Amino acid sequence: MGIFKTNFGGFATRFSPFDENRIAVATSQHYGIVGNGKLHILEIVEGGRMLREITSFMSKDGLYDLAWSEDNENVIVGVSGDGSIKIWDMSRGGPDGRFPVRSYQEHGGEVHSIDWNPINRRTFITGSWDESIKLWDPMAMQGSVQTFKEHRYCVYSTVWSPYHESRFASASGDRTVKIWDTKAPMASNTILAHDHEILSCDWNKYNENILVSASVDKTIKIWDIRSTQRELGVLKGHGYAWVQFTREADVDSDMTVCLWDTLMENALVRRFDHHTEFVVGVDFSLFIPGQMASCAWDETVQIWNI
Amino acid sequence: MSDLRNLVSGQDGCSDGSDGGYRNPLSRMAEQFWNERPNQEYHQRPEMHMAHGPRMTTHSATLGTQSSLNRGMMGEDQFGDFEKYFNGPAQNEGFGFERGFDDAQFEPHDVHHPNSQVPPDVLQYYFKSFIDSARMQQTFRPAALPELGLDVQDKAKIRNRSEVLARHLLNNHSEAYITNEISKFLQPIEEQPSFVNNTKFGKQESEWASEFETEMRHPMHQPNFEDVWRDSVATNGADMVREFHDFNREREFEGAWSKAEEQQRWVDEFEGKAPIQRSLNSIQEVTESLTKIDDPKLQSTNFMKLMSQLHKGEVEITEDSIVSRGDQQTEEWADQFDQYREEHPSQSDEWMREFEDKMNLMDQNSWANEFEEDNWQGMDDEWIKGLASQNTTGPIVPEYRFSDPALNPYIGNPEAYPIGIRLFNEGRLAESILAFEAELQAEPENSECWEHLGHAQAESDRDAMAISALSRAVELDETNLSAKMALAVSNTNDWYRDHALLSLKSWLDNHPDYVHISSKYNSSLFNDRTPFESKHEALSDMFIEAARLKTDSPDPDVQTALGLLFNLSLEYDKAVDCFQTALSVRPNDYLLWNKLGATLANSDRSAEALGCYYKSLDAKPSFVRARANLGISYMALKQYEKAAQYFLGAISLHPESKHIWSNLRIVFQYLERPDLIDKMDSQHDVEMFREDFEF
Repeated sequence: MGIFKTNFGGFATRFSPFDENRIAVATSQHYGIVGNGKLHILEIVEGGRMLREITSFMSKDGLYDLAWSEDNENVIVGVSGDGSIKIWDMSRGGPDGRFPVRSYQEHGGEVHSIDWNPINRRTFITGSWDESIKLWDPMAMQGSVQTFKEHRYCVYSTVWSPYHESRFASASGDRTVKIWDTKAPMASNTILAHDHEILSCDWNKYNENILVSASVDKTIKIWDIRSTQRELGVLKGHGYAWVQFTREADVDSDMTVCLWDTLMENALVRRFDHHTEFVVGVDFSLFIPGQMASCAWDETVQIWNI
Repeated sequence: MSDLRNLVSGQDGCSDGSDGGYRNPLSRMAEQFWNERPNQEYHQRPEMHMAHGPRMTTHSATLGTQSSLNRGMMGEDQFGDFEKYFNGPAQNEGFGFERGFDDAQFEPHDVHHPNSQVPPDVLQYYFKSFIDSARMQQTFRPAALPELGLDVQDKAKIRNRSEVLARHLLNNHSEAYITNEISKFLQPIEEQPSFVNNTKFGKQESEWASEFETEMRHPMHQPNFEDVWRDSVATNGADMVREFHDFNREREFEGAWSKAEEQQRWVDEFEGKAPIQRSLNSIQEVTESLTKIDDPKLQSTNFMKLMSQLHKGEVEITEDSIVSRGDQQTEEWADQFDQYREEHPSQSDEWMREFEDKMNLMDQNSWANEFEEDNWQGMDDEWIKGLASQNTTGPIVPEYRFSDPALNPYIGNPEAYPIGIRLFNEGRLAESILAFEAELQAEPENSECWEHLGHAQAESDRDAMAISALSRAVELDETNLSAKMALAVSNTNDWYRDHALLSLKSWLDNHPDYVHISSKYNSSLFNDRTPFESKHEALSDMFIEAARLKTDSPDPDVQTALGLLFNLSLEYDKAVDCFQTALSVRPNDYLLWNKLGATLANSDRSAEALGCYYKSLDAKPSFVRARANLGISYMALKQYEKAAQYFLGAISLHPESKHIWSNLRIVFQYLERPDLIDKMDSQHDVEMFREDFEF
């Protein structure tokens, strides 16, 4: 199990889609409440037993999420509490290399989520506490391409569907999950998923109609988007509120990372206890099956194999 | 006061008569800007910036690009400051929010150094304490904060974001509770003077700041929240209509209840303001008059029952809440009240308002008188019940959790207590804990035994349980001075500064030689409202006076107390002096040696700390903490082999300590020995490392 100690609390971690030995972590000072942010790019060494920093980028405000470009192995985007979206290019050298190549300042509030389109590899979406979701194309010069404004409270999570190029889902503190199509300005579907704020949602990688949502009420619900009146199943989270999860299985965390099998209700597969504070970010390796990473407010990012 | 000034200007010492010659500790504090977390129990967690060590030497060649990402290059010229600030070994862990970092134009930034005398982690700890209290289902205890140099923007961010975060963490509580917790949390922040941002980007930032001034709107308070539901009705079909109506009905209740939030806030405030020392006395006074009210209708109400319970001491007010010995009762009241509210929503509304009006007129000390007046007669006694259904969130000190008695071999053994002491002295901490617990099952009022249990827990790295046990000891026996001192130590370790002060004051007040000292000070100085600094200053003065009484034969406890006090205010030099004085009287006190070592290490004198830890281990070879601290200091000095040896040694005595295992792992990373990390992961067995290290 490799550990890396970051300066600040971790909020998101993502493996690179290009290089199996590369991973990034977005961190924020003071629990993201105030202070600076830092994005670390790490190298995984010795088959996952060690982590070393390749480079890092500082930001004025905390970073809540990050996304690797699907198009260019050196490009990475971080989103920040001050509403900015910063694109960094690792291949840029010299003294300017530490600054972003682009910094968009359009959102009116903290940007909490970003996801890069895995199909067209060109666009990305961001979700913000200003209640809007924006679609971006870095090639377009003017800034955001489209803005989706329907949620009534902070948007915490925005995720592209792995199957449909123009479809994405969003989770909000207004207790709904919405499904959108970038071709339409209004959401195609709204799921009244929970009775409390929803911090996270994600698509099932193997079934295009299945979506999962996780709420501060400590439950994870599984939905079929074709019939959203009732959830397919509920996983009762444990101890604490936070849930974040990703592609293949659901991973749920307060200070632990839990692996669930979504085919069986309440089927907890494994629980990982290696953090000492809230685990906020989690990811699966795309290349090495069973390799996972997590980052937490204990200022560590850890890699292990299940 | 002048004593302290003398200390500060170096004219005086803890040990009265010692040679002065301090540098101003405040200026040293500035040097310690980046220092290790003050929240170290008298052992430290490794300073994490060291994790960057290996990075500096190995340059990643795997990027495959021509550009040099060599950190060494990046640090130079006009960006020198930036590099040093964020990446150098003297790393600023905490403060110095980068200002004016205007990335779009690639201009060098202005780094804003706010009040650099503030320890960098103060804000972090403050936030952490809020998060922890929410997580542990306890109410938040606000602490006074030193001036932090926050500007308007920062405050706005803190205000908005902590509200969002708080709502996540506290989502299972009532709206009233949440808003109360948030306002308690924000108060010391709001009271901060706003730093004015002088950079050339200041104007731009203050414009931006105004966006953040507007408060976050929580769905509850939004007028059109039902639009969300209405929209989804359109798209999702008729089932939603029913849910929509349900939701609306719920909201009516919320509206009616919101006035009760005021009431709740008053109740919480009242609880919070009762000075802990005088609370019992004043409650008795106050409830005395109430219990004499003759009206039989009033007497039978639950509120009056609460008052009489308070009077009799069956219920007590701890620092932040009212703890009833019979929690069941308050549950009943709460249930009754809820039921009433459901049945009579509009009436609740009405008397809520009445109650609120009444309460607003009352001042904390005079509310008893008010109750005696005639206007009681007209009141519906239902709202009195309402007062009783206050939020009893439990004591601040966690309940002590006994280990499973079924697995405790000492249960029923009449010699459990002396056995426990023997085991403790032999360093067999886990067993001694079981023995003490066994004794306490039989004799739960044995204050000394609680104290020993507390010591054992503290030495096992379980400060929360230590605090719990020591608090019990003190509760049972106000004169147990050693328990009070131990409690002060544990509180200091966990950085419960205010509690540490209280423990120390309590020690002083109960000590026959010094009891007269605090009477010279205004006792209201020690209530909740006074900022930490004032309390600290007063208490330090008191202890200095105590020290003065015995200049020829210094009281090691007084010196220890001063050492703790100076650690709390990060005046490490003074603390060192005091511990040294204490040690001159008790040269074999392994705990004192460890404290001295930790103080030195915390003030970046790791090499000197080593000697102290060795002395501690000489006196008690089984003292885990000193061994672990040695590991940490060796890490600070970059002697990783030795660090590993000592960590392993500590683990062999105390195999369940997560902290030490993870420190060990980091040492293995520094040593670049992934094979060792593997070994550690495959089996958490310290014996496996005998072949690699000597310990």
